[in-house]
Amino acid sequence: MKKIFYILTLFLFKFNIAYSLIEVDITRGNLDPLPIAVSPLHVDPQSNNYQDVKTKELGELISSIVEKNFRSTGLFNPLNKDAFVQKPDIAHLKPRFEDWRLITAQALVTGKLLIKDEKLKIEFRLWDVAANKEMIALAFTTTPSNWRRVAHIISDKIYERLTGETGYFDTRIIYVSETGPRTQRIKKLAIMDQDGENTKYLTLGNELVLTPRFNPTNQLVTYLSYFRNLPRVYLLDIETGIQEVVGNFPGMTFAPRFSPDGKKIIMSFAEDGNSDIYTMDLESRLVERITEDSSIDTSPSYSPDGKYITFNSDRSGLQQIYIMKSDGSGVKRISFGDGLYGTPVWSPRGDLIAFTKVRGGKFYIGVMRSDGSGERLLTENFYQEAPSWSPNGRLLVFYRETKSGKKGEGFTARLWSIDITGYNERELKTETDASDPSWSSLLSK
Amino acid sequence: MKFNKNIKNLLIILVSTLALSACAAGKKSGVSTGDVYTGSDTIQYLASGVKDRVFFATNKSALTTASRDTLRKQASWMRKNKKLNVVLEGHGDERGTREYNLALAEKRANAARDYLLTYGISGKRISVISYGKEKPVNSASTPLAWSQNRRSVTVKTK
Amino acid sequence: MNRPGQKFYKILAESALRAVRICQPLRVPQTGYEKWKDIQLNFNPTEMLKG
Repeated sequence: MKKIFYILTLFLFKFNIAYSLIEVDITRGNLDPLPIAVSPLHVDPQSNNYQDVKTKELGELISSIVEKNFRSTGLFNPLNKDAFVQKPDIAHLKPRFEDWRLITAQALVTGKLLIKDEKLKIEFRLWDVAANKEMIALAFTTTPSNWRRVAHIISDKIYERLTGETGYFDTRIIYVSETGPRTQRIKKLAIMDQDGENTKYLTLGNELVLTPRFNPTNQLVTYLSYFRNLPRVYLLDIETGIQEVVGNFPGMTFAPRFSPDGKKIIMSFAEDGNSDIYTMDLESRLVERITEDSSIDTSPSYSPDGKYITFNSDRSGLQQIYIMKSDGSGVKRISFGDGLYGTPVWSPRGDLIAFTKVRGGKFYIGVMRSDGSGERLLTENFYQEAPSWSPNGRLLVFYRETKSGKKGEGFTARLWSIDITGYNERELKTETDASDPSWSSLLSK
Repeated sequence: MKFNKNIKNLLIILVSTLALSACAAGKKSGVSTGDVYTGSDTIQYLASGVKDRVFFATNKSALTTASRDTLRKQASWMRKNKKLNVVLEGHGDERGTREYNLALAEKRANAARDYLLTYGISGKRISVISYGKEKPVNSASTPLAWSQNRRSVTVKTK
Repeated sequence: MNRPGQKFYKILAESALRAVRICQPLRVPQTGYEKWKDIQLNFNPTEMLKG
């Protein structure tokens, strides 16, 4: 800020301008994460124990999840707890802002919790340390076993208040867990909280499973399974674990996604070697053919309003990205750069389509507007693909394979995420190797 | 004059033999020509002289002359063994996106199947499955490995 | 500040105010205040987008 004022005054001296509106174009700046102090939540001494929940440690457990979430955004710098002067209960009542300013905090999070009568009651506040005032004050009640989600919901509320964007912390990621040697991989469907915790395996690994995607309510998953050596699209109920095949197709179905209203599955069906896009209504079981072309049409993805579909086709000779109306009419190619394009996926904000691009032996994750303009390649690697959007349309999760040896030894597959501005590329924590990630919508809606 | 002509003929024969053996050497070392694998590694045999697989160029599902030759022999073997059924397994290399590779591998296996049908083999005896890039036979990251992975393999079913 | 996306402008304003407060005390020129008291700041970070 000071620099700007100095520059302005110099500017004025040089030109000796008579009164007119001065305009300053600010096009660059330093990205300094906002220093934020997350005080451990005060645990009300009247709290009971609840099952296997570590009540006494809960205040610190929750605040460290919040800190970890903030640190992962690259936008916040959670300050070291050892430097905090005020105790959690007092800070929550009335922070001594000078104390917090001393450790350079610009924002402060405080709170308290009580476990009683099998319920967890949470209160938290966000304070603007420079302005000496409260920014948010919220309270809610839930079951104690939901304590992780409490931390994620608090993170979302604060994130939204400070950035203006909806958060993405109270979400899960479904992916394919991979183990074993490269030529005999064991693949299972796995689901975890977005921070890498709470991993659960949904299939046993007896048959090959690929490309799982959530439905809009995050209760169902659609994916490709090679059960009984017949590759078909399946539906899995996350709660019950029950799997069922989608439709009664006489050949391979694959590349499935849900429609934004959750009523249909859109996918590819390969007949006599030719792959076209079809939909199936989950209630009526009515199947509709969407593309009818002798080329390979696959990887369909709906726009969030359900009116358009983006997909991958080689009808022009090589893999490119197209859009069309949801009834299959008005097909238009939108990728025109050098190289091949695949895995198009429409942002939940409707503004961008993310994709994988292959050019000059390298793989890129990129975004473009839905008319094909403004193509930006965010990250380059020897091998990576399959971006999936965070529910606020600001991040992409994808996977990357690396081999340490030319003969394929040291093979690993990991999940990575990146902001759509191209910043904050980071590896996600998973219990095993992982591929084919898909991000849920916000769990609390 | 006759002597010169003989020498000339001799030279021509010598040169062409040398050229031919150079070609043969190339094939033996398994180096891909024009991206399609032309070597003999990874190949298994359904019967004496009947190779079990055909190979493809990057992003393509067209059959080469060598592929047609292999499939012709497979058709002949199937005609002689009328009780045998097969499944054609299509594969792709790791240098493409996953879903497109599933479709491309399916197309490759179907190309081989269609060719077998032209030799009068009943379609009921031949099924097809695509594995995309999920089951590489060579896990290295070299053009040679990738060319060995772009294949359609004929497997006896029980 | 009367444009669509009011929420973002509020956030931006808060962020700017935070920055100013932290920069206190500001050293500004003693003269010519009339000339620079109204400044229009155009934020356009598209140059910083990667790719």
